[in-house]
Amino acid sequence: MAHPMSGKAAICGLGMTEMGRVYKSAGDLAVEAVHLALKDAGLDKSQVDGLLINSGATGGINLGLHQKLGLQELNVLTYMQGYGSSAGQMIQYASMAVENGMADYIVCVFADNPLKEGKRTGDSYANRERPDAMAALYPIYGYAGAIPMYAMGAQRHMDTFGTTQSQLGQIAVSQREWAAFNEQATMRKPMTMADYHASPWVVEPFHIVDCCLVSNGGVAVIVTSAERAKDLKQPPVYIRGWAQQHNHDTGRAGHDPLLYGPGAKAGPRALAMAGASIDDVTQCQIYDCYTYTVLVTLEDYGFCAKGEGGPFVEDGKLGPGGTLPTNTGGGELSSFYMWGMTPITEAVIQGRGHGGGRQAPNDLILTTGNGGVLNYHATLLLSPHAA
Amino acid sequence: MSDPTWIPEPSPQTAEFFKGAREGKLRLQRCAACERWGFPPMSVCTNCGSNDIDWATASGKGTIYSHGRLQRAYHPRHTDRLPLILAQVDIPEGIRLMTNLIDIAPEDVKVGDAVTASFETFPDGGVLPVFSPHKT
Repeated sequence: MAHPMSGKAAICGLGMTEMGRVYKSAGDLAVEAVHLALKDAGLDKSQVDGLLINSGATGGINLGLHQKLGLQELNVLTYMQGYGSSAGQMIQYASMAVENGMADYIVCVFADNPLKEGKRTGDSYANRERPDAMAALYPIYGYAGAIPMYAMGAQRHMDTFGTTQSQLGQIAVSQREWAAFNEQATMRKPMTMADYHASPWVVEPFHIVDCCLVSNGGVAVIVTSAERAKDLKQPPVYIRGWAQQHNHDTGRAGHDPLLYGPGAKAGPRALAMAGASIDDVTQCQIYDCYTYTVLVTLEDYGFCAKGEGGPFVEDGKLGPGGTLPTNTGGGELSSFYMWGMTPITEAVIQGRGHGGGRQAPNDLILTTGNGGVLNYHATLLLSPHAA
Repeated sequence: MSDPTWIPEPSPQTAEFFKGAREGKLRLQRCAACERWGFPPMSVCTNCGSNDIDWATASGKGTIYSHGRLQRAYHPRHTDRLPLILAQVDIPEGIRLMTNLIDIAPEDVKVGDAVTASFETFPDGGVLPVFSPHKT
């Protein structure tokens, strides 16, 4: 049986700016996203009484966004940070707040502008300037940003379970097939398995196309009570279940954080809240900072046994026409990288039935956010049905 | 042309690690109260909260937790040696070190293999602990 809070809050507004090489400040992108979300929901700015803020890699927005937006009186306001799990967390806290009457319309906003004119794509993520001698070791060793860590996760999976390069590649290929249907996706050019194998290495076993894009942009999502959502412009997308799990990578020998992620614990809790089982999930919007993140997350949630993710995805079941439509907008690999907002934007589009050529069965949409190196995790179960 | 200074001047807290490397030793901290080894350097034990932290010489043994191959150079040390083998090495002192493997072909590296601490001297005289295949 579902938890009493299941389905009592809903997403009623979605605002997305142009994504990619949009050279605006993060603050401007955030303001634009909020206004787009208000218009989408059919709400006036004066009705907003809650604001949750999450900044991306550049830290370009903060509590000052409240003033920049000119919101006069708020019942709920905070800046949050849980890296890639932040977006899911914001919607969870907003749901609890609207259900308890703290606020009526809570805007959850993310914006980032890591792409700078004249700078390399990954510079904002690489953290290559480190003053201390100890910290300076890591770029000397060849560790910059998260890519080496996730690549080593994939390699451990390969050595342990026999997962193949082509199995990782199928995830990228399937998502690129989805991206062809998404006008907001940055990478829509078809990609074959041969193209995948020909893509340059970054940190082997990752090709460039195993890694997410880097994007500038802003996203705002408005959460309200299920009752209020019914009377607004858009079909409500009900928030049926949620959970978080945060696993500290101990840096200690003998732990296995790269093969076993936090979704294994968050998943059952979110499903229990929704009164559902994993078999009820009709599509997935999985945080896909890397191909491997999709593979390990599918295993952690129990779509297949641990270690069987490679054969599981190999038949293309994640792609168009497949039995488990996943990252139907192209995901972070092919559409745009707005941290945890990327899967949520697509879940809202799908939940409303607005997916057009990429619309997939939407009765229960598993949406995940992931931060750090499989450290921080937030789960949302979304649906067009309140129960 | 002078070589770049690769390792900045260590802080008092980290100096022993670099001094040890120049002497061919893997010097790490160990809490005097709970005897737990710790890395990176700390002034308070993350396990028990003690301020009584010693330095000790680690065994130099390790096993590969995972590995990868850096294929894009962005530091002078990477130049002409790609793929550079990245590895996370579990040492019996209980720590997982992010390091490199040397003296082994990339295709021969496997999770679980035994490795031994080794030391690489830079053009500027700095020394970096790395790992190489364990020779039986």
